[in-house]
Amino acid sequence: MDNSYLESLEALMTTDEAAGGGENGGIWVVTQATADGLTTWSGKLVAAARMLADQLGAYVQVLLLGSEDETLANALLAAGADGVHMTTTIIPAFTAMADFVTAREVEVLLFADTPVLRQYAAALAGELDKPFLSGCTGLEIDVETSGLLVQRPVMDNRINEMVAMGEGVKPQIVALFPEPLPEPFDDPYRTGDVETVDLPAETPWPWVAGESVEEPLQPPRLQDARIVVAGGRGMAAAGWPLLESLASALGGVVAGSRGAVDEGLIGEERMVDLMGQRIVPDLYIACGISGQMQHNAAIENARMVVAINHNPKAPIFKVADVGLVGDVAEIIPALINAIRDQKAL
Amino acid sequence: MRIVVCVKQLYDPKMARVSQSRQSLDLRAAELIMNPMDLQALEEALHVREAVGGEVTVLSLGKPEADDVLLWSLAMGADAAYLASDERFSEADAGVTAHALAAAIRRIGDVDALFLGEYAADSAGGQMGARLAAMLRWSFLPALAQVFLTDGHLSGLSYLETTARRLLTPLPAVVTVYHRANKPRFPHGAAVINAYREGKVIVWDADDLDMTLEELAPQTLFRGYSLLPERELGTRLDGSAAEMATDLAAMLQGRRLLGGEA
Repeated sequence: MDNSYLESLEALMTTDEAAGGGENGGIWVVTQATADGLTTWSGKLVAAARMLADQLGAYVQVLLLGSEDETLANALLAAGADGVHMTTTIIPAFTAMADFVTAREVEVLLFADTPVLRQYAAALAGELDKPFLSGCTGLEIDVETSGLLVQRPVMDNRINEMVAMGEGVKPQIVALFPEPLPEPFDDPYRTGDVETVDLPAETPWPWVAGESVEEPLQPPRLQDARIVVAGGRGMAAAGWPLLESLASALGGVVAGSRGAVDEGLIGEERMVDLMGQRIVPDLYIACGISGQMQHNAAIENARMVVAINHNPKAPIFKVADVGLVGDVAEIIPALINAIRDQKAL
Repeated sequence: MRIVVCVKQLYDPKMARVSQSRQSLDLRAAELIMNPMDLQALEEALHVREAVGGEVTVLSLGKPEADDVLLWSLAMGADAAYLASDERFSEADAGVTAHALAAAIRRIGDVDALFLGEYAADSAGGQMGARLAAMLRWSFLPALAQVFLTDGHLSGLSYLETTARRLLTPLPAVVTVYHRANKPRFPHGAAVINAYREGKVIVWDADDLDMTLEELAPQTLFRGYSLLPERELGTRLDGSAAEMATDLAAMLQGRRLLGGEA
């Protein structure tokens, strides 16, 4: 437990008036409860909000969507919130949300930058005609405007731009990535106001006036896949189904190196090689692939390459962003578990 | 059926360099290109036109030289092209851009659908579609592929989340086209020559679009660049299999590769 929190509490007590006191104004965090409760992402957002609030002498309020469970509310208070407002609605109608935000005079509105919430926040910004910045990785106070100064990677992640919100604009809407947000506080002695609020749901699915039917996702073509899990000769002993479990845990597709094709583990149409498929996924996990030149060149533009191989000198490690030296038969099951745990956080 | 496709001219991020000494972006070697995601949006709109008829109009906001991407769009097969261009747009943020585009869409008139790329390759904001949908009060279909029009309804497969959703909506609607929806066509040389020689781009300034001073005032201010931490190429994880797995999973979560929800 970080004792800087006590200092911030003192600061808070002396600035009650400046913050306008009570319910209105302040920094708001919008978070969704999952079947397992709260994600660490919500705790991190509250911690980030807390740090800003302490600089500004403001309150942190949380709008918890999808649950009216008091234990979750208490966890959010412990994480640094001054008030928690709960509704069982998972996605509120954005017009109702706009009214809510206006009525509460929200100054800063923070969202987790998930694909759905980003679009939701953008629609809300359109409705309110207020600024919205997505994909943010840093948040501080701008000295000139006393508003937010946001850091966000641009130009294909080559550089960060720094953008300040205009003076006196409210609410200032921001969607944040979970890294590198501060670790959540946990002070079980904190108390605060907890209420339920009434927000009608957006039907049937965000902003679509019409039908929405969930479809089982077809495995995408190898070239279209965002995530590719590939195996090599080294997977023969460990067993190919292990690779398929990892791909399904990640929502990715399975591919193989020339070695795997030679071993008959996978068809040639799924071979990652200069003579096979050249791919540009966001994530490529090479399991038991030594990394021949023909293979490595076929993945050179992948956004992130992870290599798992027992041989620390395997050439695959030269092109990998992250390398794990060890037995694929041990690491892959551990990784599947770790992914499940991480998703459940 | 009239589809408007919003296209953006930008510096090719792949050719942008980062100057470590000046802590800034070096664009001297970078070319101005059409946002690759917008090429997909245009391709998808041309598909729909080929199936049901109607017209495809392209619209951009930018400097006068942005007419280049509009001429290219005409070469690909668009029927008409409009450019919102004004010195007062030089500091335009998402809000100002949205007001200008919405005004242009109203002025074009009788628009049934608006197609946009899923996001712009340079700023990666990904908010324009949802913003415009809310402002225009049209339906919104994000990250759509396989777009079809039948009986006045637009449908497609949305790839916003880890499971696809078949969406169907009455018109008018705003669609952002999934960034891997299709392979944009490459126009014939003759079509390119023809478009650049005879293609017509109608240019509107802020007054043509009846924009108010309020709508022209940006609400965000660019303050400069800061460098990213060094790329972690070659990081080796250590510890037991379980420890390495936990570290890697956290790293993947941090890069939003686990499709985690808040």
